[in-house]
Amino acid sequence: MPTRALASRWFTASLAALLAAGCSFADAKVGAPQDACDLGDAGQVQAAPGAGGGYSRVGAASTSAAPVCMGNTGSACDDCEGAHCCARRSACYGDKVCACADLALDRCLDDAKAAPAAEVAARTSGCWGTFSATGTVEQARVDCQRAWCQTECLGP
Amino acid sequence: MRGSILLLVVLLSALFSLLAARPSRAAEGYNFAGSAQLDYLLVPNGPRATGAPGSGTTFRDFTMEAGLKVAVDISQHLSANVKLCYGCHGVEVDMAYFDYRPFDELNLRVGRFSPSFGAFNLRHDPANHMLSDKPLPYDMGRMLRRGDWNNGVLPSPFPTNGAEINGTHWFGTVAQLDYAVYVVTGFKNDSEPNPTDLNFQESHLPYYVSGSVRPAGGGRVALTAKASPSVDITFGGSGMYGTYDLNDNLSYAIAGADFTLRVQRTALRIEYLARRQQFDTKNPDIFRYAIASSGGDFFSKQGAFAELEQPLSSALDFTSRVDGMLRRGNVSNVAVGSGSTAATSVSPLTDRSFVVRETLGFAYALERNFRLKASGELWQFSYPDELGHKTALGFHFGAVGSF
Repeated sequence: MPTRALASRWFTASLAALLAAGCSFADAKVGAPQDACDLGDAGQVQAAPGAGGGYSRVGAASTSAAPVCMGNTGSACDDCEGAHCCARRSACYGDKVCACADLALDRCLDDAKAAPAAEVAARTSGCWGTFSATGTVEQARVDCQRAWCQTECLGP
Repeated sequence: MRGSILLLVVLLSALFSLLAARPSRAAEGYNFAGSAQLDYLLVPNGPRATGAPGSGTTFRDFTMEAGLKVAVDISQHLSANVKLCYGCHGVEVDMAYFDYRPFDELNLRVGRFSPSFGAFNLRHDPANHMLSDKPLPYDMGRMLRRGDWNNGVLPSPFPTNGAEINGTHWFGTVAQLDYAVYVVTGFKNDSEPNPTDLNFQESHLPYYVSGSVRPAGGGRVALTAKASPSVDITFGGSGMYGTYDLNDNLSYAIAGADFTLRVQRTALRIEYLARRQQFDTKNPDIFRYAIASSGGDFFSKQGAFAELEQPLSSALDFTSRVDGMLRRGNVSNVAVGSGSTAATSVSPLTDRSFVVRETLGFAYALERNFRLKASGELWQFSYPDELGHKTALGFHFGAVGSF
């Protein structure tokens, strides 16, 4: 290969690497806006249809833990999460962004259930993926579900 | 304020005592210089532009910058520099350092100084540039909506305590290589429970000491080529890295590149700066956005300017400049320096905010060391103010003298 062509290739590769490094250097990410949904003045969020119920959600402005880990809810996922992932579940419902994301997740799961059978699994997975990508609190909750409640919550 | 004046008096007294006590041979080696600029900023529109002092507002009316500098050549290899300046935050020690230079390629600088970074900082004194204010990447409080942005990428000057090794090597008469490496206190935010940005107030009096354990470090390399007796070109690169919180957990990294072309008396200057800044995410409620699981613990602030300086006559200079900044990443709703653990106000910035400014200005020298300055600025922001304005006009009228 001629020296000039080799130099040109190296220069292009170096420039691309430099640009990639520069972009990641400055490419800060954010989650959902904190004012993404209105959780109401009293901070109590109504469980979305199909959400399973059996737990209470805490206030929008509150970050304190709340009793969200009651058993015998009628939902295998909620029971499992309450038994094994209580802290992370509580953290989620105590965080207004996570609480908002959970509302969106419930709606998304309801839509997924109503989809054609062939699409249910993919849509459900997509719902959880979106929820998980919202932020660190959401991701921690999903990680715990994957570890302890894969079958009950996330499906096979 | 009383403490600042007292410090000024003490330092000046010590300085003059030193000069008076020196033998006559060394006394010939000192140089006393100073400058002062009075500037009036007129911003006709916008509540943020004309609001009362505080976060998100702008200095308007008259502002004053002044500096006094003494440089002493103590011996053939040793010199000292002290500069006191007066600006928006009272009297400050802009520099107080010793230079020990055994030869041109090796100089040890110890004391308080602005470490070598970028090309503009060498000209940061208002007597050294033709416009009234600094380029946005180096802005220190003169920009519109400064509270939203917490100043520029690297507000200039940035004096701090430390040591620097620098030097210059000439390649005959055709090129010059400058380098600098340094270890300094760097920037800080020691006073907030959840630091989200540098608190530049902590670089001022009375914060000349630091509780931080790790110093910041950085360096600069610049190559100047002399294409002909009237043409020279400079390329430079700079970097700085450090931590700014009390526990040394939150880092900042600043990188810069600069280019200067000088053809006879015409100068074209281009600079780019980028700062990557980690912030404390332990209290996510203070942020405008949820903390992203990846890449969510920092923001970036990039800035650049291009400036053309063209003398129109022996007394009149024309300058045009385009500058701007881009900020990406999460936004804190706690004003820097407030020390609050809860959101104090909703920041108007989004996760991707920018500002662009175009400036045209003239400087007229009534005498060699006394200039009148006038410039007009068009500002464009990515977000509206309370009146829905995304643009604003600014006009500077100033006078600067030096001796």
